[in-house]
Amino acid sequence: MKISNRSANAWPARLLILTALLAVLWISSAPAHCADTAAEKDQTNSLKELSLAELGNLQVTTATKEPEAIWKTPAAIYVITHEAIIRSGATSIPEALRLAPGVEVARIDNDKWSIGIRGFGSRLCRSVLVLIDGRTVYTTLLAGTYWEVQDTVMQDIDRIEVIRGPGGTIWGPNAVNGVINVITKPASETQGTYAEVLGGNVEQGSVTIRQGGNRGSVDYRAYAKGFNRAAQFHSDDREFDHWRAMQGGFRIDWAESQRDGYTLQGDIYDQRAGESVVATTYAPPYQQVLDGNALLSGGNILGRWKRTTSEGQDIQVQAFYDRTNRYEPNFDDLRNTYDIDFLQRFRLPWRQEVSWGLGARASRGDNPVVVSGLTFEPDPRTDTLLSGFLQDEISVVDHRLSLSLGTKLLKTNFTDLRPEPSARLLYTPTDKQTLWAAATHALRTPSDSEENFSLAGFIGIAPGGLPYFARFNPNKNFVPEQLNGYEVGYRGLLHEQLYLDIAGFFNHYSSLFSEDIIGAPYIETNPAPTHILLPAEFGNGLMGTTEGGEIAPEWQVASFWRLRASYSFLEMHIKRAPGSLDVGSAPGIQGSSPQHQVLTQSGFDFPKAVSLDLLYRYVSALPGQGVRAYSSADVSLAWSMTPHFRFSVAGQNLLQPHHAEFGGDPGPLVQIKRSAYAELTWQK
Amino acid sequence: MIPDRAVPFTAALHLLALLISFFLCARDCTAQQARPTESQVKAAYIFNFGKFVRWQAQPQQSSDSFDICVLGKNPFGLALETTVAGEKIDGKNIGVKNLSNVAEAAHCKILFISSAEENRLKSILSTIKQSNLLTVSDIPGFAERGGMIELVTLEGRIRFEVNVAAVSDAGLTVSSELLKVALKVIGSKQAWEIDK
Repeated sequence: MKISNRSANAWPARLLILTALLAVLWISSAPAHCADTAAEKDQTNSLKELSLAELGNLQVTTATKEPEAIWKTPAAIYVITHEAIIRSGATSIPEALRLAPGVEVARIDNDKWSIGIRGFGSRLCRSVLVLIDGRTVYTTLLAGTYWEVQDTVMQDIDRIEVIRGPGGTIWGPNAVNGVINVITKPASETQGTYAEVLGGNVEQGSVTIRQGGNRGSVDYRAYAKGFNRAAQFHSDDREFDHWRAMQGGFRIDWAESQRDGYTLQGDIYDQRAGESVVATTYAPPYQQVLDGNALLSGGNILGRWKRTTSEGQDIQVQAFYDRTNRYEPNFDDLRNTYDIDFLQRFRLPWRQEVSWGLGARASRGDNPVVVSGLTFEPDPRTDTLLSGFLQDEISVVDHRLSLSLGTKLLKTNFTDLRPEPSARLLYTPTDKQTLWAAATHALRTPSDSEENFSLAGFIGIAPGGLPYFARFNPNKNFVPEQLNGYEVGYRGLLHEQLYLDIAGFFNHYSSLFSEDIIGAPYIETNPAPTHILLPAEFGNGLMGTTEGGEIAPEWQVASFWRLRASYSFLEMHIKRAPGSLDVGSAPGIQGSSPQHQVLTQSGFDFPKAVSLDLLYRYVSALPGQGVRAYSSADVSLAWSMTPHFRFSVAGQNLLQPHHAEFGGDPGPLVQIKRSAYAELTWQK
Repeated sequence: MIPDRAVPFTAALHLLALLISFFLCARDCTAQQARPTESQVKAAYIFNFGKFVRWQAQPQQSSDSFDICVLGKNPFGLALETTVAGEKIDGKNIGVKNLSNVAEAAHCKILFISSAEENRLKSILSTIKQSNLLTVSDIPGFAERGGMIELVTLEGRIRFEVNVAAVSDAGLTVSSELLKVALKVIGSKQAWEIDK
């Protein structure tokens, strides 16, 4: 069988290589102790001999801190800090995203998540733009992000910036409902050796090692990691979602001078992500559920040059190449993506800060037919994107009131030139308070899934014995999904230890994705064998509004105790547009995002370098997915035994043996297990 | 029908291994050790500023030491003390004092304001407005907000901005050498001292 062929790959051999790789890293990290701590004092003494100019040229190791720019951003931005990620015990990027307000993270099964921001949660997170170190990971094939292949060393993540609401102007297409920006630490902040092993009932074994160093003004790091995650709970015992992966990568930062900095970074990965899919064929057996492995591999390499002439004035050029291989039981995607971006910021009189940029992307994908019911035409194809943006931030009243006006312009192979304008106002009445408001127009651009995709589903055997199928045909007239978004927000330091962030929004959507029946059933002879077909297509037949808000207080009760909470409210009204042929998909969309979400976190530092983190979350029901409201709790206890060793235990989803978060797989809902793991890290 | 991907991918992993081992071989321990911390460089800056600023002659002040004061939580650890140990400015020994209240700042030559004091910055600056002392801080926007020298971390380097208006208001003069290497100079140009 095809499926078993695909699974019987040389996995053990790869594991061996990874082990060897880790061993090499481990052994070679041994002489790291050659560093002599006694030299520290001499160093302080020699520094003062330097001139001011020489001092300004030194690269230093900095403690990470929240970028101050966040405070003055006229958008609903939330930063998940490095510390918050590590303390939460999250072992993947999607799990870490649960920490942000307004973000719906629902685990479909072991290796799939549905993620949405302010509604429209879906497996591929269609209207959210996701970037990792400036590299967009949004695919134009099915529109969205394959979360399972977005990974890095959690310890090396500096922060994850989550922008709720349209970020269309600066960030590019498809940032309709939000932007997720994963930013890893510069290589200068990941010096030395870091090693981590962890194991538990779901996280069955995970090894990570990273080695950093420098030579003059060049800093670098390289890492390798691998994990093995056991299947979640299946009431029918079809434990198809076993997940194994390994990944390696590097980053080199070269600070050539005060002005110029260069970065080169890349990753490669290889995964066996177990899944269950429906395979439809026009020939018997017409439809079968295939449990098998998605063979996912690929890599990327990115180069960036940044010249900073003075504060607020810089130029950046970035290019990347990404290779994606997806071999799934019912479809394949082999893709090369090339991207280049240019960005400049400069200042003009009257306190204006202007930024503008240009970008071009080409993505060539090949989708060889695996099952006859799922095809792309033409094949292979190249998708292109040309974009530009211009934004002017005008300081109307110095330090108190500023206005940002801007627009993005984009053209893809699916659309003509389209603008995405926005206006944002920022008012800071005092140094401790910020009020902002924004109006934005954003677009989700069409993708291959609407315009070049044929997807058939088997309905049954019609009277007369002919098989009866429904099929979404390619729709060359699909237009961008559109949003007009209106937002307001407040951030305030109410008291030295109490911070409050509130945001509210009203979004008006039009030309939303719909599932249209476009004609009466007829007899089709090609593709053979003869069958009855109900023709359908993906259209723009839905419209509607969403409204809601998030409130996120943070309280530093004492130097050793921090409390965080958030409440997110969402009301969706999605309906058929006049003249729409939609089959009735609106309730399903509306019912797939929670109306209420509550998150509370407590981070407590005990003496003796012991820390305890507790997390409670509540997610209201998702009638569109048949998922009931649930509560869940995580606990993480960590002990830094020595400056080098840290031991921690984490328990996740502790309140029940298992619970469902989202549907999507054929068969009964996969349920997420109560899990626990122990972790040992070593750092030098 | 499935292409045999095992071979190229294994090759890629080998490449990675090679790449990693290249880095490891290229590793230079001494270079790694030479990287100073943020505190060390900031301390060196503060010491250096003392050489590029001229204070008014204050005959009534008989203090026999040149005091560098840190207001609020001292972020330097021992780096500042270590830097100035045994050093002299204007023939005076340098002392480091930790202050908890700005009212104690009268005898200081340089006042470093800890970022923990950010919320009180406005009142601190107005209290010492007429004092003949140099204010330094790494509070974001410090120079814009009326401070004199702001230490800025930019791309992993420590730079500084100078508010010359604030400097001259306090009766201090700064050398053009210092202004030349500043990331940014705020305030009127007339206040620039042409030294030598």
